[in-house]
Amino acid sequence: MDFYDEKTAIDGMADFILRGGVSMYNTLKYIYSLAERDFYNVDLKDVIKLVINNVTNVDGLSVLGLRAEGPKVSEMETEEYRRLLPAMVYSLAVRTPALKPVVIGGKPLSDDQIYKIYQAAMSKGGNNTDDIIPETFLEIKYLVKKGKPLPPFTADWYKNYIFAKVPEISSIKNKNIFLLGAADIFFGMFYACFFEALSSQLEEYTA
Amino acid sequence: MVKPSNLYFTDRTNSGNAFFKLEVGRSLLQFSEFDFTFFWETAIEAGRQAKRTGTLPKATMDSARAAISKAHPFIYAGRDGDFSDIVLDCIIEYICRSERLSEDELWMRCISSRIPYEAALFERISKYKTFRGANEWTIVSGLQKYVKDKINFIYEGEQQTSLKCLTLKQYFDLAYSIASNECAIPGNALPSIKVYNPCLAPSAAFAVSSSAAKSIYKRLEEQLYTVPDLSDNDRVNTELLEDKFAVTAYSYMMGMSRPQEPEEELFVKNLENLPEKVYVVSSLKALIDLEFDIMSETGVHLKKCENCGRYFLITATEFGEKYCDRINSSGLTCKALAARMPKLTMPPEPEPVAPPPPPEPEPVYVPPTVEYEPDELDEPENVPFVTNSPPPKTFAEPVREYYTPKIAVGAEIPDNIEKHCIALYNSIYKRADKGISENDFRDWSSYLSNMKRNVKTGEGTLDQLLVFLAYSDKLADDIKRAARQKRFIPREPIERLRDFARATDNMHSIGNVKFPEYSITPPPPPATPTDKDYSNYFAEDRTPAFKTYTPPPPPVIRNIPEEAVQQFAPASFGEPPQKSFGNVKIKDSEPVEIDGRKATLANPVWERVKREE
Repeated sequence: MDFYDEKTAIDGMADFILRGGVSMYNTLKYIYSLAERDFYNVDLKDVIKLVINNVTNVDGLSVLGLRAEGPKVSEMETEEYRRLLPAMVYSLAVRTPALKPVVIGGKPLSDDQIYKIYQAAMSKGGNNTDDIIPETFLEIKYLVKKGKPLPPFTADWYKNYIFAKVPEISSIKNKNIFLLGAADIFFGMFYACFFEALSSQLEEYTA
Repeated sequence: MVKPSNLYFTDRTNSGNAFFKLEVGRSLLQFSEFDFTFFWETAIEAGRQAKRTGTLPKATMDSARAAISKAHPFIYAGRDGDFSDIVLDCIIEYICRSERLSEDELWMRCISSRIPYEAALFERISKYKTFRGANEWTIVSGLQKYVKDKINFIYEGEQQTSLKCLTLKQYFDLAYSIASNECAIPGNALPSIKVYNPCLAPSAAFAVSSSAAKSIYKRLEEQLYTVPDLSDNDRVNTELLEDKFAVTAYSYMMGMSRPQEPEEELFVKNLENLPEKVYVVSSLKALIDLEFDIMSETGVHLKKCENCGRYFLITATEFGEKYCDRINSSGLTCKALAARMPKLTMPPEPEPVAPPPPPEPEPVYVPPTVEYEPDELDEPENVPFVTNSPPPKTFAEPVREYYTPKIAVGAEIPDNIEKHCIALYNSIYKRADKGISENDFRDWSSYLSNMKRNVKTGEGTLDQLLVFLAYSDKLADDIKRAARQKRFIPREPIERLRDFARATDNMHSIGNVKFPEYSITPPPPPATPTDKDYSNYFAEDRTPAFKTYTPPPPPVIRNIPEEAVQQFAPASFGEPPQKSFGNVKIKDSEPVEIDGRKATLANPVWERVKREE
């Protein structure tokens, strides 16, 4: 694919992936705070609609009167939970090879360009914390090359990490069960809209 | 003239940190008569500018907000708080109404807002959705209707007294309570009012003289240094802790001595204009109802001016007043204007007219009973009733005269003629305004329906309808031809229709009129009723007049030799027939007998179609 400026394009795409990861991370915090007190004031459907229509808006949910900090989300202020942020960036960056079929201006992204985008996203903060995410870049690249379906983008790795490392959120409480259930619905919907937005983002950089 | 008393209030958010004054009665009248047109138009103009430029125009918004602040002191008090977004609310309501969108749809439309205007709309609607705000414009306009309705309910009418006004007010309020109870509005969501001594009101530290408050703070500064923060109590039901908090706060001013003389004098001077009590109201409706209550308590009422039709304030002793003190377009008050007009004398009431005498009862015919022998009725003096008609000579006659049942003498239109009428109607209707003008079509169709009705009621005959249908067939052909040529038919056929209508009474003068193929003779008129018929008519167990239906016997097909009917076996069919084309004539079937008649089923003759090369 031909870009106006390849370096800017790769940096911009990596930035987009980073903001997507942060948006995911913050959204889960907002959902957790919603369960605290605003359970009957704020509709979860509105929260999801707002996020999937603005996938890189990291603080968009404050408009609904929710807060992602303070005592309402104190269980998420632990060091162990904060390590999930790089994992979320990694979960989006590792699927960069899925952009291969996207053709703009008659040309798809080259393997080199895809790898550079992945590397740039990783250098901005992506990391497979404790190898909780089973997918790797090469595995996804192989599946895309062979035309095979990718594994679904689920919240399984997220829940596994919570159960293993964050006991405050894995205990049986109304808020925790609400969060884990909402994560199941949110992850799949978010990735579908994020990927579409990421593909559209390429057009901004192409010649 | 009534001098209205003042009411001091603050809103629940204490947004202004001040006490606001309200003239009881006058602010109600002002609110009920307030014209929101300027506000509305300015708000819409602000919306249009925002759509063009992408940002909300601050100057126009401020102008609109200032306009609506004059509607009621409560709106003025909340202009930076609860009513700060009233202009945006008006824009949202206008967009939803003009584009027929719901708030949810508008919210979705602005969800990926790129411009500040859309972001502002999105944020405001998000507040509606999460119960952190409501459309204040619709609330204010709704409450204006509430005020107007309540004023009319309580004060409209001539014969009003204080007690009656109070009763009507209580009635109205009770009706509202019932309605809100049925809506299951929780108690803590109902409009409420708290009354405070001004120095104990929530915003007293700022609303009461600031210099007096500062001097007190200086005296208690050291003790107040270690006070706890009791504001963050989201999980706690604070209503149960009011006394606990009160004791905690008192502990930081315990043992305070009296102020010195100069300080005391300053305090007295600063607090000269303090009201006796301050109301903290939860909503605009609470303040409106409070105003009605205080008006009722202080004997202030409203009355409609007989000149201008607007309400004005009166006391309980002024119910006789008819005119207000407003200056109208003549430059005079309504009262002054009424004083200048000549007094009109009412005409004397007419003397009561004696009611007309009741009409004499009409003579009622009493039929003779069966115990009278027919011979006795020949003598009129023996008839035991009074009637204007001559006495009947036989027993049968009065029965015929007074008990004649109605029997329809018209004819039913047969199905095939009905279908022809429908087909004709559809054919001409299709070409209305193409081959025939709409007015002429209307004339023709009304003539057809009148003809059919006349036939059914017996005022016309079926033959007349058939003649008209024959004429209409010709008319339909003319219309079809004219429509193809894209012109209307000439007026002549319609004029002929009118002539025809005039001439239908004398069919012989029509001329060469052919009946359609399916002409039928109309059914014979029903037989004149006889005594025998009538006696059966009144019998309880009369037998029906029609015969019972017996189906005809099924037809029997004879003359089929038994040898022709063979057992089914593939071999008996022999060789399949040769397929041949060209001029082939298939033989007709053998003659058969159906119901005693011989019939031959003729087979079609097939001929090969030769194509021209």
